Amino acid sequence: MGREAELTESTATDGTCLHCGLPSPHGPYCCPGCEAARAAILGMGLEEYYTRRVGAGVAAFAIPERDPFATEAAVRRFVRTAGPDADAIEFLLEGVTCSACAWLVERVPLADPRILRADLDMGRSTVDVMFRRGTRLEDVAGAFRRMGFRVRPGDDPEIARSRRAEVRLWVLRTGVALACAAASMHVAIGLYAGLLEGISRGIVRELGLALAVVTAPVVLWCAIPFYRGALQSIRARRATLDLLVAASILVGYFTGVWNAWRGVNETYFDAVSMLTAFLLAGRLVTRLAEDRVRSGGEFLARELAGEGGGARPGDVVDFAAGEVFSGDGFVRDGRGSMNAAWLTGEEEPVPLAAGDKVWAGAVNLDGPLVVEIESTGRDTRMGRILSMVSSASKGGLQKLSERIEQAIVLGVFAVVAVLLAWGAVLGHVDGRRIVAVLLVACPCAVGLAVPAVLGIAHRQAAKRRILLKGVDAFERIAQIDTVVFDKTGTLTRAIPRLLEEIWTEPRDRDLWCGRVGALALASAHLALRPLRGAFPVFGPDPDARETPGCGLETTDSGGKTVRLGRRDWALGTEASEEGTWSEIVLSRDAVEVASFRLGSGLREEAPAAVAAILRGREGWILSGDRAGPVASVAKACGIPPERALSRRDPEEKLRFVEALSRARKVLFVGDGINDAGALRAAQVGVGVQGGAAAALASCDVYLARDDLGLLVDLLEASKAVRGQIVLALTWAVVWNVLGVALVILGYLGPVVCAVLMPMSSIAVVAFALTRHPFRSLP
Amino acid sequence: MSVFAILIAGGVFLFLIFLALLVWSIRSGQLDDLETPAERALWDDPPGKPDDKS
Repeated sequence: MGREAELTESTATDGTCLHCGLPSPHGPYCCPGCEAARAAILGMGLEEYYTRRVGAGVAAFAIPERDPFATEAAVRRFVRTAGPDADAIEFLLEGVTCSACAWLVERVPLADPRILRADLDMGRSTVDVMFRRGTRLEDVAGAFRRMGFRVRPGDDPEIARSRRAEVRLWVLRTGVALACAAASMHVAIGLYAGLLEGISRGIVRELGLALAVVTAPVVLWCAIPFYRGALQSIRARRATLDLLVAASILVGYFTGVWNAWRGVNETYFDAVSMLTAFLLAGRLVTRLAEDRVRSGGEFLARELAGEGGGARPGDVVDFAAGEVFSGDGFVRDGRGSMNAAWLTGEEEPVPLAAGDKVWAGAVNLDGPLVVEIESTGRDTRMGRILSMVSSASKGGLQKLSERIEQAIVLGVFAVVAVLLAWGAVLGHVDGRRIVAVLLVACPCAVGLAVPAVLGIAHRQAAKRRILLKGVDAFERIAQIDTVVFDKTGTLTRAIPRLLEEIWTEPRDRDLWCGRVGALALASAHLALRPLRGAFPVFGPDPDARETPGCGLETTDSGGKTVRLGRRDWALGTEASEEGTWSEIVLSRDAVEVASFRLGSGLREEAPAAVAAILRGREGWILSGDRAGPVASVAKACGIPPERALSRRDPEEKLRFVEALSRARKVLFVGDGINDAGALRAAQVGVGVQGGAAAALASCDVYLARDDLGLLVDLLEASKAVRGQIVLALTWAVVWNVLGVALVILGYLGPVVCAVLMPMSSIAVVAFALTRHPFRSLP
Repeated sequence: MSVFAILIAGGVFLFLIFLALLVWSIRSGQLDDLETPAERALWDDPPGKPDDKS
C-alpha cells in the first residue's frame, strides 16, 4: 500500500531546522518543539516571520518543563487590572532581541481572541500582555509558548512600577539639565564675547545673575543624585566619582554666583550645567544597560523558581514520558528509564523498574511512571548540589574603571588640599586656581565613555543572543586564560543523534521509511527522536502500542508484528535489564529489518569553535560521563587526553575549578546541574542554551542560542571592549594630569578649563561611539 | 536694557514650553522603551486589536 509514500513530507532542506535555523542533519526540524512552533506559526498565517528573520532563531523547547503558570495562585500576584474587563501581566521571554521575534510576539493577539494586546520591550526582553479577564494564565503563557518562546513571569507589578518611575525621573532630570545647559550657553556666549571685546561690570552682573537663575534647577534639582552619592561616599569613607562631581558642581556654581555678584566676568554656569547633563546621561545609559542585564538574570532566576512543581514528600505522582521529576523518590509502578545527564553527566539512560530511585531534575524518558516522592526542594540531591553552589565563592575582582576612578578622585583632592595648604602658608588662598583644578578634572571619560562603551557592547551581545549578567562581565571575560568544558550537553548534544542505519536488505529502506517515522512519532521517548527527523511523516501510527522501556509495536498489512525498539525486545528475546538504547532495531515477525545506531553526537560546530576558543588558552574537559566517550570527544576537539577528566561528580568538579582558579583565570562552560558549582566557582561561568535551570542561575553568561561559536565571538569582543575601556581611562588620566599641571603652573585659567571640559567629554564619547566591539565579527 | 528683559523672558517662556512637552512625553510612556518602536515602524500592518468587543 502506498500510505507511506503519501505521508512522507518533502525533505528538501539545506540541513538546517526550518524553524530555528540550527543544524538539523536528519530532517527538516532539529526537535519536535521546533516542529510544533512552525506548525503554529504557519497555522496563523504568519509565515512572514521566516522571511523577516535574519540569522538563526531560538530553538523551541522539546522537553516539557514544570510550568510555573500551572499553579494559578503562584503567579496571580503578577497580574494587574488593565480595564473593566481586562487584566494585564508582564512576561519575560527568553532573549527576544531581533525584529522578527518582536513582530511575531506582537501578532499573537491576532490568533488568540483571549489576548487583547501584546507590547514587547526588546531592550528588557519583556512583553506586556493584556488579556480578557478570566483567562487562565497557563493559556495566556501558552499562546506565546506555542510559537516556541520560553515564558516566565515578569516583575512584580509593584516593583515594575517603581522601576519605571525611577527611570522616568532620571530621564526628566537629564532632559531638564540638557535644556538648562543649552539655555545657559546661549547667554554665556555674550559673556565670552565680553571677555574678548570688553564689557561693563553692570552687564556682566545682569547676565551673570540671569545665568545663575537659569542654571539653578540643574544645581538644585538635577544634580541631587550626585549629592546623595557624595554623602554616601563620605559616610563610607571611600573616594567615589560622585564626591568629585558634587564638589565641582557646587564650587563652580557658587564661585560663579559670587563673581557675577561682584561683576567679575568669570562665571562657570555653562560648564556646570553641561557637566551635570553629560554625567546624568552617562548614568542613564548605565542604568538602562543594567536593566537589560538584570532582566536576563531574572529570567534565569525565574527559571529556577519554576522547578519544584508543588509536590510534597509522601505524594504519589504520575509522570508522563518527557516530564521532569519534581522530587527524589522511588518508582511505585511502571517500567522505563530516565535521563539523569543533567545531574550526573552520564548520557546513557538509567533503566527503571518498581523500587528504583529517581532524582529530581532527571527526565522520565518513556513513561508513564508512578513515583512516590520522598523529598522535594532543598532535601533532594539537586537541592544539596544547589546549596553547595550558593556557598561556592566568586573571587573578588575590583573593576579597572573603579580603581582608576578612585585614583583620579584622590589625586584631585590631594592637589586641592596642597593648594589650600600652600595658600594658608602664604596667607592668600588662590580660589581661581582651585576652581580651575576642579573644573579641568571633570571625570567625563570615566563617567560617560565607559558606560557608553559597555552599553553598546551589551546591546550588540544581546542581538547575538548572548546574555551577560553583570555590566562588568566583559572585563572578567577578557582576562580568561583557561577554558574548562563540560562534555554532555555542552560539547555534545543532549538529544541523541542517528549515527548509522544498517538495512538487512538495502532496498527495503524506501518501503519502510514511512512506517519507522510514524512509529517514532507515536512515542515521546528521547531515543526515538532522531528517527523522527530522519524519517519525517505527517502523523503518528494510530495502531502503535508502546511497551515502556522497550519500544513500539504495530501490525502491518500482512498481519505481522512490527517492532521498533531495543534489540533484545524487538528480536523477541526477553527484555533484559541491561539492554540499552544506543541501538534501535526494526523487526518484522522477530526478524531484523534494520538497525539504527545512536550516539549523542558531538555538536557540529564544536571542533572548530573549541579550536578558536583555545587559541592562546589552555583547555580542559571535565565530565561526569565515563572515560570512553570523554576521550573520544577530547580527541575530536583537540584537547590532550591528560586534560580530559571523566567520572567527576559535582563536588569534584567544583573543587577542581576552585583549585585551578588559584593559579589561572578560568572560564567554565556547562549546562548541567552537576556543573552548577563549577560555574559559580569559575571567574566566568557560561551556561549554554537548553541547560538545566539550576546551572543557568549560577552562570555569568548565558548563550541563548544553541551555538558554541557565540563563545568565540564573546571572547574576541571582550578583548576589544577591554581595549576601549583602557583607552578611555588612559585619556582620562592623561587629560587630568596634564590639565591639573597646566593649571598649577598658571597656564590655564578657570574660564578656559570650563570651555575645555565639555570638549573633552564630546571627544571621548565620540571615540567610544565609533568603535563597535562585535562589528568586525561575521 | 529692556532688550535683555525681553530676551530672558522669551527664553524662560520657551524653556517652560519645552519642559511641559518633556514631562508630557515621559508621562505618556514614550521614553520607556527606546528600541522596539523603531522596529515597529518598519512593520507593514499594525497588530489588529479586537476593538469590537468590550
